[in-house]
Amino acid sequence: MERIIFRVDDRFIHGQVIEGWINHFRIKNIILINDSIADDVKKTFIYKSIMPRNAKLEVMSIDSFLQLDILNEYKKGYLLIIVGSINDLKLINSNIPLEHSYINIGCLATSNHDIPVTDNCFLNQEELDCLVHISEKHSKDIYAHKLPWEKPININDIHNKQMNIKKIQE
Amino acid sequence: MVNIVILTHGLFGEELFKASEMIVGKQDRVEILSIQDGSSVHEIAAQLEAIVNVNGQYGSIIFTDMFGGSPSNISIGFLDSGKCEVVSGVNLPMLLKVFSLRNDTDLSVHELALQTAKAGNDSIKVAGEILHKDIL
Repeated sequence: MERIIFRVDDRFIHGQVIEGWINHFRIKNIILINDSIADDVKKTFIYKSIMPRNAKLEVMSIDSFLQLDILNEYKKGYLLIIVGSINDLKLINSNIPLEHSYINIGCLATSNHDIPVTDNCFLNQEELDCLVHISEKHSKDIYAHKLPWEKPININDIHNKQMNIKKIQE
Repeated sequence: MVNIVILTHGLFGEELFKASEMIVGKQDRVEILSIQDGSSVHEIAAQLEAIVNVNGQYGSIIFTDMFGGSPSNISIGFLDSGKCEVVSGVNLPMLLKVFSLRNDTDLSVHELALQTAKAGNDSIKVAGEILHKDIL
């Protein structure tokens, strides 16, 4: 596993993230990137208060993250970075050190999105295209991966499946 | 009477509530919400908001299964001094306690939550420890 685990999850930090990722990899540093949470003292406090002992959470806006020199600021150990949507991933992907990062998708359960990826991840076509674009541009596979001990699903496989469905429909 | 909401992962809350009714009989003003794989956090939050608002004058306690889990994270957003309290780690003795105490109108929502949480904490026992101290 790469040192920087970069996750898209609309529930941000929750049971699967704490038990599955933070505790499993003994991650000490976590960054949550979200403009509205960074702007809300109460929400920031809540997310900080649910961190396991020894894990430190920083909440920052997209702009603050774009100015962060990740590899210099976090030289050793695992770093978990979480954003809440594919759109936010798109906005910040220029500052992800890709060669050190494992990009994965957790929960994305917007009800009107019709492309099922896992039982708690649904995308729309625009989001899928965006992920494929980022993946191709950086030659980096992106996975839907709920828990580290479960099998990851390559987003490109979902994309190819969608293309086949469209061909059959035509 | 303070309203009770039980919001958990899966069907835990529903079954726990059924278990509590087996012991203390039918209960009014209880809403059960569940987060399943694929549930939208925004939809759950909207349901919760509707329940908490409708019952605003009496106050609500939201019980969740685990501090740090989605049910708890969503609920804490509705924390409102005197009107809405959130108690995580729900167990059967907690529900029994809150159902018996909530008829007591002198208790504020916060006090009711504190007493309920204490009942939950006090109910967790390692039997061997008790025997060891008191008998062996």
